[in-house]
Order: sequence, then C-alpha cells, then structure tokens
Amino acid sequence: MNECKKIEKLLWEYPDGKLSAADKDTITAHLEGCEICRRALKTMNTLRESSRADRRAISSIDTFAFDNTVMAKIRSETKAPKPETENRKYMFRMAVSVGLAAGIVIFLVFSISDLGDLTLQRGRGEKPATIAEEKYDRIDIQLRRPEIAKKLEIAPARIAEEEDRAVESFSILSAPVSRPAPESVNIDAVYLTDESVPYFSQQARASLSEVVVDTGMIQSVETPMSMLVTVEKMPAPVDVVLPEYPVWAKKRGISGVVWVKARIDESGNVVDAQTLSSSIAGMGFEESALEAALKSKYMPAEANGIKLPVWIVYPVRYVYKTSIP
Amino acid sequence: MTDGELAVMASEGDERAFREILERYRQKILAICLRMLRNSTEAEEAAQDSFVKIYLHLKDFDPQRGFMAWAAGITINECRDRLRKRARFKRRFREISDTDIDQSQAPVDTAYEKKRQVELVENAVEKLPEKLKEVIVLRAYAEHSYEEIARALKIRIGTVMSRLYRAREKLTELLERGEES
Repeated sequence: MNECKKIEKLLWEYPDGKLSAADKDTITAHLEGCEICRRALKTMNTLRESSRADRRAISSIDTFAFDNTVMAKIRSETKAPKPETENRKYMFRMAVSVGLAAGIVIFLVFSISDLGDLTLQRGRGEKPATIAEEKYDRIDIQLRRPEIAKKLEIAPARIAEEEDRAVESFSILSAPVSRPAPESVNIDAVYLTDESVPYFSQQARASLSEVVVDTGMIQSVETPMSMLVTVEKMPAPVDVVLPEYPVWAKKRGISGVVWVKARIDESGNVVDAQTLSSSIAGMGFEESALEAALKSKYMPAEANGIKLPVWIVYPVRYVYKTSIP
Repeated sequence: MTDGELAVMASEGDERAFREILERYRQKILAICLRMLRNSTEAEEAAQDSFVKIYLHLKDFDPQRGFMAWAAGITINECRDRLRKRARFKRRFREISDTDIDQSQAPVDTAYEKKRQVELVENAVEKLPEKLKEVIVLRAYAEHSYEEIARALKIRIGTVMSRLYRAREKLTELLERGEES
C-alpha cells in the first residue's frame, strides 16, 4: 500500500516526460503487478483528456475583450476622489467666470451711464447715436478686457485663455484624428466551427422549451426549467451577410471585435440577435454586426431529424488595414 | 522580468505590467474557474473578478509564496464564494435538484467511448467534496506542483498528498460505477 502511494505521486507526472528513466522503470514494473494503480492511471489519463478539452475551450475566449474588461473593472474599483489640485483649478475657473460676469455688469453700468450722457446730449439737441456707434460699443466689450483685468488683478492673457478653454469644452465633438484612408477594410468571415464556441455554451445552445415536436401540427413543449438537448447538426451558413464597417470607426482607423449571439429558427432565419461583448463601445460595431446578423440565412440545426431553433455565438472582427503606417 | 518585479510595477500603477501578468496567468486562472464552476460564462466572470482582487492586493503579495500559488489562492476563494452563493440559491429553489442536472448532462448514445469517459470524470469531479475538488482542479487542470497547491491553499504538503490520493480514489470509484451502469 505504501508503495502504491509513492507510485501515485509519480503517476501524476507519468506521461509528461518529466520523470527519470529509473522512475519510469519503477512505474512500469509496479503497474505490471498492481491492478489498483493501473486503475488509478486510467483515471488520471481521463482527467488529462478533460483538462485538454478545457484548454481548447479557454483558447477560444476573446483575450482582448477579457483583458479590457478586467482593466475597466479595476478602474471602476480604484476610482479615487478628485485630487486637490483639480479642485483648486476648478475654484480658479469659478473665480474667473464670476469675475467676468462682474466685469460685464460693471461695463453695462458704464454704458448705461454713457447712455445717460447720450440722452443728456440729445436733450441738448445734438446728433442721435448712429448704428455705427452702437457697433463700436459692442466691439468695445472685448477692447475693455485690459480694463476689467486691471480691476480684478488678473493678467488679460489669462482671461483670454480661460475664455478659449470654456469655448473648447463646449464643442461636443473634438477634432477627428487625421489618418490615411484605409486601403482595405476587412471583416473576418463569420465562422461557426465547434472550436469557435466554448464547450459549455455548445451544450446550452438548445433548450427543451425550444424543441418543436412534430405531430401533424407544430407544437412547442413548455417546461418550467429549460433542459439541455444535444444538437447533432449545427446550423450551417447559407447566406451570411457581411457587416458594414462603421463609418466613424473607419475614419479613425479603429479595429474591434463583437461577439454576437443569434437565434436561428427552424426555417433557418435569424429571428433574434444580441451582442455579448464588444471590444470598444460607441463606434457602431455592435449595431452593424446585429444588422448583418439579422439578414443572414442558415440551414437549421437538427437533432434526431427534427429541426430545432438554436442560439449560435460567433465573433465578428473588424480589422482596419492600411499600407501607410 | 520576474513575476515579483511585475507585481511591484503594477502595484505602482503601471498598466502594462499588469497586462503582462494577465497574459502570463489568464489561461491557468480560467482553467481553475472553468472546472470549479463548470459554466463558461460564470468562469470568465469569476476569472475577471479574481484578477481585479489580485490587482487590489498586489501590495500584500509575498514573493516567497510564489505568484501562481498566491493568485490561485485568491481564485479558489472567489470560486468558493460563488459556489456558496449558488448553493444558497439552489436550496431556495428545491425543484432544481441534483438528479435533474445529472440527467440533463448524461451523455447521449451517439457519443463515443472516450467522450463518455471524459464526461463521466467531469461529473465525478463535480460530485467531489469541495476540499478534494480543489486539489484535483489545481493538480489536473491548472497543473500545479504539490508545493504550489500547498502554498495556494495554505495547507501542508502531506495534506495535499493525502487529499489528492483520496480524491483520485473517489474518482476511480465513481468512474467505474458509471461505466457499469
């Protein structure tokens, strides 16, 4: 028995080739005469087989999207309160806007007093103010900047800077990044091989509530919980519509991956489509992938000769390619 | 660059260092989650949350313990939490009993022998008590050494060996019973 425990430890490493020749010989000799350890090895080999299948399933995970989700989660976890310097800046801006407002009020008071002069002048029977003069007044708002600045003890350049910044923050769309037009825009073919979908989602693709039993008329079986049904034939693409590259993404030279989950009914039409994940949001990738998904046609899935509605999952890759770096 | 150096850089806020850590350990962390939870969507989520926890606790990382073992420990904890939540949910909704799930996952006659074997062993792993399941997952699926398992679960190597032995024996038993039926 003690011997078996020693062998057991070695067996975990057995086929990996990490063992010395002597160890291998010990194992072979022991296995010859020990039924228990032969059974143990069989279990371990099956475990290894299962682990290999898991690794295949894992390799189909979109690592790019995975990493980005992790980083996004971290960012939302570690969102620190605004640093003090930020606050101070904010306060300065407040002061400047309040100052500007005050300046304008002061100016208005001035102009009203001017107006008073004007009426007085008019009263004296002189020429009334012309439109040109009004214009001149308006222009003067800007020209008076140094005057306001002097009153508020702020450098005039600083006020202009702050004004510009305020204007900038009001423009919703920042200037687009200028990049050469893409030479080719390439969308990966939509593929539905078993490898593209993790093992577990393959199992979950069909559920019993979706099974249609053919008894002269079509009848759908309703169950409180959906049970899994194994599909023998997965839907085969007949006419897969390629999505359009979103204009905005194309202009900016952005690539992306969208995972689409689509429901294909018994006649092969796509009746519902959802996005599972998208590597970059707000670029129109999801919308274009869904639009194309709904237009596509498939051969329906089958189990025991019965056509079934199923969900399929596939990635759509938008690859921005250009010869100019 | 060593894991320890990367950990220090990442804890100082270097995103690229942490992305390198992700690259190195994504596969193994996912392997643990996938087998512990047996659901690809939840496994992916659990793996992501594990990485978030790894990031948040980078400062506590002790290079003596080894990065993989430390990360695996965090991941196993995350999976334990999720399994416990799931168990609570299951208790509340009794109608979803274990037998129902077993039937739904039973192999269909078209599956050939090898596939059937794999499925049997996966169902058997699922039935193992939590402590035994953890060592099997770490050894067979994440391919940890005995020392790494000991450090990840904070138990002695002797305990790892005995648990692994008991787990494997139980699996063989379940597997053979499955073959007979």
